[in-house]
Amino acid sequence: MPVIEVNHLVKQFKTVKKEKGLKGAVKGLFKAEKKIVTAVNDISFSIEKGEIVGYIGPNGAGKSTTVKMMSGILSPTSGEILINGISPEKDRKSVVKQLGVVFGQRTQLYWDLRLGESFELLRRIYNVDDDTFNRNMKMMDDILNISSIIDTPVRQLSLGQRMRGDLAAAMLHSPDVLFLDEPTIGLDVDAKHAIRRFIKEINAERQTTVILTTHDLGDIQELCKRIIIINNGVIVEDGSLDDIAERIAPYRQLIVEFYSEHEIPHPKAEIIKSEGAQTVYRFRKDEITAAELMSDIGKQAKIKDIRLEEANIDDIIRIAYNSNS
Amino acid sequence: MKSLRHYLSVALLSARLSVQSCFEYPAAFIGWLISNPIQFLVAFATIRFVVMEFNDLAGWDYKQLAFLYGVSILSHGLSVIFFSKTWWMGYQIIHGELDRLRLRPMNTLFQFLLGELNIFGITDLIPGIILFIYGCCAVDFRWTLYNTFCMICTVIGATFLRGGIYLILGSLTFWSKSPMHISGFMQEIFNRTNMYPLTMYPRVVQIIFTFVLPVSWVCFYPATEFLGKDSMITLPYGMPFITLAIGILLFAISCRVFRAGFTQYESAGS
Repeated sequence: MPVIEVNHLVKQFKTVKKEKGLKGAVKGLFKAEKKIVTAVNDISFSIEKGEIVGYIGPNGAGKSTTVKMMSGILSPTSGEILINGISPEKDRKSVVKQLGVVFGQRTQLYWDLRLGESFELLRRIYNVDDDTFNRNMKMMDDILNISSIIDTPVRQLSLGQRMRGDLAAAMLHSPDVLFLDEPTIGLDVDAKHAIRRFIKEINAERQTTVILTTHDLGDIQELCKRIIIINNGVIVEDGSLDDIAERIAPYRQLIVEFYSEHEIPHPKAEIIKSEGAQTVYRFRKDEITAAELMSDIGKQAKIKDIRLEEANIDDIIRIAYNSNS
Repeated sequence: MKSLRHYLSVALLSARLSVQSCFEYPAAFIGWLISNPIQFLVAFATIRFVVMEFNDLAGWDYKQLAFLYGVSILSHGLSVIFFSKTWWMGYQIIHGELDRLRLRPMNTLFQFLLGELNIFGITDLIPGIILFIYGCCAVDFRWTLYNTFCMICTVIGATFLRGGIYLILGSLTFWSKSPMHISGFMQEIFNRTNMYPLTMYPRVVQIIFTFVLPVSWVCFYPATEFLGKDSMITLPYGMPFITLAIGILLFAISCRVFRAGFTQYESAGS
């Protein structure tokens, strides 16, 4: 049974259309024009236990809205969500017991108090027994070095420290599923690394299912075996990064450096740049292998050096984002 | 039973953490402690001045007015501690700050009301207690078992009555999508109206404050019974219980409104 099942999920918001300037504002007071915005438009997917899924899309695509519906904050307009077979809309309390949720832009911790007090409160709220609590704290300490910041008031923590605190707080009750909404936003390289290591370790040790929204493609490359790309409220891609790359950008580039200036065409490769002794070929993986191409070219001119480049992840994601706008 | 204990233990820990948070800002607390009682003193001075000019107000003398005001401000102080967060909940709704309440496996309204107490409300409660004791002494209130019970019903009922109305007004933002902040205004209505006997107002106003917006049940009607005064409604006894009943009813309605409102909750972008 999948841990998360989402079927034909739709979320619409009513907004009032605003007109320009003071005149428009006054007019809006008397004759408000209602407009329905569809943030999430009929999406379906299912996620198995122990998966790490990157849920990505441009700003305003509907990522956060989906996460908020899955975690019971918002009610869907229509469609169904099941977490371990339970609907967050119908039985919120049972569902959230199994969830850990972290919003990168907003802390769940007590702003004025030392970090430890927030943990103490969460321990009460989730009724965590001593053994589990101590075991989880120890694990969080090993991965996130929590003990160095546990006595600091949350308002004095750096963004990276605060994020570590938020992640630890989300794991205190040993949830099955972790929703992370932009957990690495605004963090430096070290802090990002710590967070990624944390995600990998809890996933490996506890089989925690992780759904991660992010704009950091490094997060995706390093963590996610599967990505779901949403754009304008619709899922445009769902699969592994390699498969998606294969489908939407199945190109590789072979950069060949000759001893002197040459321009050698090839029927299965396109020359996209030729500069001095260097020529850049673009070819499809399924039409010709790099070795064949190299040997064909090598028969006509002596090769000094070669370099092979895969399609760039930025380009792949950008193509996916633009495919449905 | 187990769940009740669970809720109680969370409420107590939250209360302790609220006190600790408050200690993080001692200067602010002292500032409030000095400035807040002044408004009540000024109100009191006004009553005194009015009575000195007119001898009595609609048949109420200075001591009886002091008692009336004392009972009112005591419930005001309590309602500030437990319900003042509803005054600015409009902002929280618009800014999506109620997300956290949905993420934890406990009742949303419980977390909202008791998850964070406004300990600064003590600066309202202290003058409230002082005025209450002063008023009781002034009219020589007899602390019999029955009277004490009636007084407790009045104060609890009045606190819920105030809180229920604040919560209903605050919850309107769920639908309006723009913070209205009418509760601060409502608080003025509660406190100003209950400074004077309702019987001095025109009959229309009396009807409104009795049946439409039941602010006079906060302390005027129970006080008429304690002091044996006449009013639009004459009952041999039972006013404090009506106050308690109205308080609980309004609070129950406000819980429904809050719950219904939350289905309209839209959080905020990202």
